[in-house]
Formats: sequence, structure tokens, C-alpha cells
Amino acid sequence: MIYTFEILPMNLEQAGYISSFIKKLLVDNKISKMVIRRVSIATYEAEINVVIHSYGGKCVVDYNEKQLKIVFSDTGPGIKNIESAMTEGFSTASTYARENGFGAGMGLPNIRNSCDEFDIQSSDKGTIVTIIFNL
Amino acid sequence: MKVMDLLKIDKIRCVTPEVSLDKPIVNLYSSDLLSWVMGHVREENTVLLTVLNSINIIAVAVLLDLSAVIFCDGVMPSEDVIAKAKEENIPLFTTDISSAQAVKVIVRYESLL
Repeated sequence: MIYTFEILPMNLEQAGYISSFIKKLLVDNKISKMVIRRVSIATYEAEINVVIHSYGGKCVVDYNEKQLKIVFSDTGPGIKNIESAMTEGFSTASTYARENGFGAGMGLPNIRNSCDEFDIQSSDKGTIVTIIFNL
Repeated sequence: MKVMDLLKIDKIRCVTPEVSLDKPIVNLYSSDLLSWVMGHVREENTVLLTVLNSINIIAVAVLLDLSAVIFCDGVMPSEDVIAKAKEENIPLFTTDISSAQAVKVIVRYESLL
């Protein structure tokens, strides 16, 4: 099954919608709690990243009984230095994002540490984050 | 200890009386950084203590299966946060004491049970 979602920039009220949807999907399919926890962490952080850092984007969820693959893609402005962005504690989050509890610099590290496969590609045209879980 | 036991601690008040308080309290965690909460809370039915009055607290609470959220240092959750919490069945509490003091009173109460 493939599910597609649009993600609006700076819409913190909607943030969490996709990760909640995926969590419910996995609960309904009786996936183990440990896996659901890791998926929730990774998808929430990735969703928030698109909301607080990008001009907007989309999320495609590809689910089958063996694997969950989720691709977050946005339309920019891109990550200047991916290595820095992957470092715990490094953040470029805005004041608005920080006031709402984000900007700890733990987003990408949390994603990478939670999933089975992780890929990130970025240019000034946008960023694509691919996360895969073996179920 | 269950979430409903928090009602017996006079310094802590419930702001979502409609929501069930039947979940257990397995652990306590205090932080105001959401990614820190996401990355560090290991057990479901953890209670989060925070001063962060943001709607995103509720999303995190749902994803991590937190059993309650306590807003400390006199922070009162805003209407939209309370509304979302009711929708998602997350009990919210508020207290005038700090998160560290709140942990102390909860641990002290639990030792009496």
C-alpha cells in the first residue's frame, strides 16, 4: 500500500499527523511495540524537519508486510552541510521553532539511530530523506 | 502508581478531568526539548514534566504512549493544547512547583503507597 501526504511549511499544528497515521497503521497490523516506537521517533522527526526547515514538501509511505519505506522530500532550501546537520546538538532552527520545543539538534541523529536504512540527499532545490524499516 | 494517584498530591492539579486517569506511571522524564524527549524516553507510560506549552507536546505524548504530561513552574497549557489532549486521551496536569520538585513529591508519594 502506498500513501501520500502533503506537508505545509511552518504548520506546527499539523505536525505529527503523518507519524500518527503511520503509528495507527502499524498498530492495526500488529507490528511489535519496539518497532512502532522506532518508526514513531523517525517519522515524527522527519515530518518536523520538513515543517520547520523547508518551503514545504511531501511524504510517501510504502508499506508491505516485510518492509516500511518512507520518503520525505521537500522543495528547498536544502542543507548546506549534511555532516554538520547529522551531528548531535547542531541546529539551524528558527526562533519560532525553538519556542515550540524544537531545535535541539537531535532530529537527524534520532532518525538515523531509529531506522534500519537511512539516506539523505540535499541540494538548494530540496532535500530527500529516505528511511526504511524491516518489519 | 497510577496517573489517578497524582490527584492525591495537593501541589498537582488535573486540567483534563474528562480524560481517563487509569494508566500506570512506569517512569518520569523531564525535558523542554521535544527531540530530546523523542530520543530518550524508553518506556511507554512515562510521565513527562515540562514547561513547554506547545501543541506538539500532545503529538509526542501520543507517539511515545506517555501516560500523562505535567506542566511545571506555573505553566498552564493553552486552550488548543487542552483540546488536543482531550481528543487524544492524554491527561494533563499543572503545578506551581518546578519539575525537579514535582519529581521529588511524586517519588515521595509513591514510596508511601
